[in-house]
Amino acid sequence: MIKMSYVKKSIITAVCIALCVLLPMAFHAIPNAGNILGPMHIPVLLCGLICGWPFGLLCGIAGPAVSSLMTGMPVIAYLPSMMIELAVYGLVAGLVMQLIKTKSTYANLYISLIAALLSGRVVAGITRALIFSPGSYSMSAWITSYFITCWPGLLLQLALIPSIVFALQKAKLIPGCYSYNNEL
Amino acid sequence: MSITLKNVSLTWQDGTAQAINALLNVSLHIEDGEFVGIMGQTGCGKSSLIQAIAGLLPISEGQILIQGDDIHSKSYDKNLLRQTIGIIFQYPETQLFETTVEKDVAFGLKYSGLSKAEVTQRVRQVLTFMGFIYEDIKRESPLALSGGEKRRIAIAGVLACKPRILILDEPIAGLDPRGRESFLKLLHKLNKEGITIIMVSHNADALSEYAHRILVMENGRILLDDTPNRIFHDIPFMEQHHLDTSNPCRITWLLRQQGIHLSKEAVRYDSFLHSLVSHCTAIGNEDPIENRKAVTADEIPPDR
Amino acid sequence: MKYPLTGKFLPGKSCIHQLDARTKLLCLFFILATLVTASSPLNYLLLLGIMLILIYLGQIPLAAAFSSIRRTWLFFLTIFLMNALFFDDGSPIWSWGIFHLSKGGILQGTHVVVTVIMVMILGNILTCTTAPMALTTAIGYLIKPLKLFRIPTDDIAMIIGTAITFIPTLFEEIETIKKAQTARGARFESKRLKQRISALFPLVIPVFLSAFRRADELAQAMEARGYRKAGKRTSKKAPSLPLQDRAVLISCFLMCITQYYVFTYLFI
Repeated sequence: MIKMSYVKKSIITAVCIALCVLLPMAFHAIPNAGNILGPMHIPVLLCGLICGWPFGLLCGIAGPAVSSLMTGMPVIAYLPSMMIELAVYGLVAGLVMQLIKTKSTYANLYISLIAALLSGRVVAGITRALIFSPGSYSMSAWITSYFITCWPGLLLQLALIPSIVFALQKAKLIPGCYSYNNEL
Repeated sequence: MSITLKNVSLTWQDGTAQAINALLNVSLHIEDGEFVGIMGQTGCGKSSLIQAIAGLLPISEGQILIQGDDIHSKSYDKNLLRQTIGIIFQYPETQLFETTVEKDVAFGLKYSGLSKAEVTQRVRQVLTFMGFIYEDIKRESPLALSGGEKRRIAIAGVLACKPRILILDEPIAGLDPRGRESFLKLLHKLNKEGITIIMVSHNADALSEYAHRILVMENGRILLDDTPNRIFHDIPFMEQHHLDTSNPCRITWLLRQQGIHLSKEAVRYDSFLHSLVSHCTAIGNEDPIENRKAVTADEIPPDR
Repeated sequence: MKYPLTGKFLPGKSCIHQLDARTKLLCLFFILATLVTASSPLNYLLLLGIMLILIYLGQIPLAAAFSSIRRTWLFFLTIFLMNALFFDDGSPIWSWGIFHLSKGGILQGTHVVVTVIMVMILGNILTCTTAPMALTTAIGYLIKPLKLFRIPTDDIAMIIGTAITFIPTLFEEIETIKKAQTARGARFESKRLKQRISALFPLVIPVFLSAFRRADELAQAMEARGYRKAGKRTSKKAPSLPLQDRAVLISCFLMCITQYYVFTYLFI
């Protein structure tokens, strides 16, 4: 079990932030892929899963911000809700990954991913409700509608992200077993 | 599979103030089975040219014809283009992604219309051709292999489609001498089987050894289109355009400047050696120039 | 293809371009605070006037300053309608089922839309006149107080700065991988969704592999040069603000404070 150094985790976070800017651009050329898959979610989730919750949190906050700065997507109007949603993804993915210790990496990944995606979407739904109609009774409507439209993307991410993690492990770019330095 | 380009132009950000001409009015014809080398400085348009031929870049003007068919016409089957042309970029091992070698190599055959058994057969063939033992390697993860093995798997993946035209963008960059040699021998073998090869390279020695024809590009245009012989011996021209020439040519040039007139036919190492030995032997025999004849390999005395 | 990824930054020599990024960021916050607390139309007009002056001083083309506002029309429409139709202020003008159109709702909706538009313009002014790296360094400097909460702000600034420098390199890499996989038959532009989705695997996996490889190399290089966790590193001393920056900062602050008090207490 190799431990990843603080420096390595930092640079991986940097690279994930860069990919938060670039993947949406790459997906933009592919019709509809951007809407369904949420390209910015992938690097943030990976960062949280691989590097731990502090880095995942940073990636989730900085990713959309840098993307908005460099390419104008997401538009400043949507930026706060995106930042919150992605921050939750990175945070929860990292936290759950750290806490869950089943014998199979697959199980660890799936559980952390599902936890992160669900909590992220719930928080996003709440945020959107708050932004669009503070104090009104249609909040639950907002949350549920957001939830329902996201199912295909969720399944896709569940398929794609573990494949990436395993590919990285095989290429020996990340350690075979996750162990977190609890130092910050 | 012949390739014809007619007045092809490619402009980035066409119509804006930052428009850049990657290709300017390029016309070219490559016959089936030729081995063409493309040289030029960075930014001259070589990568744009080969990517345009492979149908990976849209062109602003002109036509690109493969075996007479316009590849950008609405009726042209893009799938056919992908099967016909194989392109190997620099560091091809970065394109590996599958969980097993077998799946990765078979990726290109997904839409080829072959049956499952035929695909397995092809994969077996091409892996054996690249020097692997099929049964041993097929279930390995391509990502866990060594650098050299990864590159061979990536190339196998491109060759699996049995392309009639193979395009390579600086394929020997980063290879050690042995790797370079075995790679070039591989290309030569493919060329002898009838595959048209277009290779972008800075390495004049490699191109002089195998290429039938060299294209020199500059600023989006083809500056020169001739045999290696004639191009590499024109040292002043090559130096003016900051291009490498093959070592035998350079030595021939330097010797000529010192008054030793070696034959200008020699562009490869073996022919250069012959002409050098013949010249030295003639000097040794004090033969007048008219009597000097070419020396065969058996007449060359062994090294001490 | 070489795509100049400098974001919305338009290089120039205007007086706004020449200000330190920290000054611009702080002024942005002051104006933002005034904007968020504004409510009277006169206040908004004044702020709009200020922004137009800034656009003029910064030699920013109008199209750039107002960019992406048109694209967000759906957001504006939704927010306006949500507020106008669902705001419950007790005296609806018109009712139909769950929809209650009210004057309070319309005002609220307009208020939100106008605020967001102005925030976008302000953001555009900042990004058009400040280079991304300068902005990152400025943010890194300004969040230093967070160090009190044991948050490693230097590392955060380094990470974001490195991310920005990685962007052009990774962009080229992604382009090459996309082309290589297209040439192998990956169907990114197929009419069938299933084919497009399955084409994502041969794109995304190699991209991450490549990116992580570079990260690995850079991390090793940094560690070999002695880079460790923050705390014991000598940091580059940020240049102190020149006189004109200080003047701008103070006058901006004073102006915003004055505006706030004038509009809150003199006009109700």
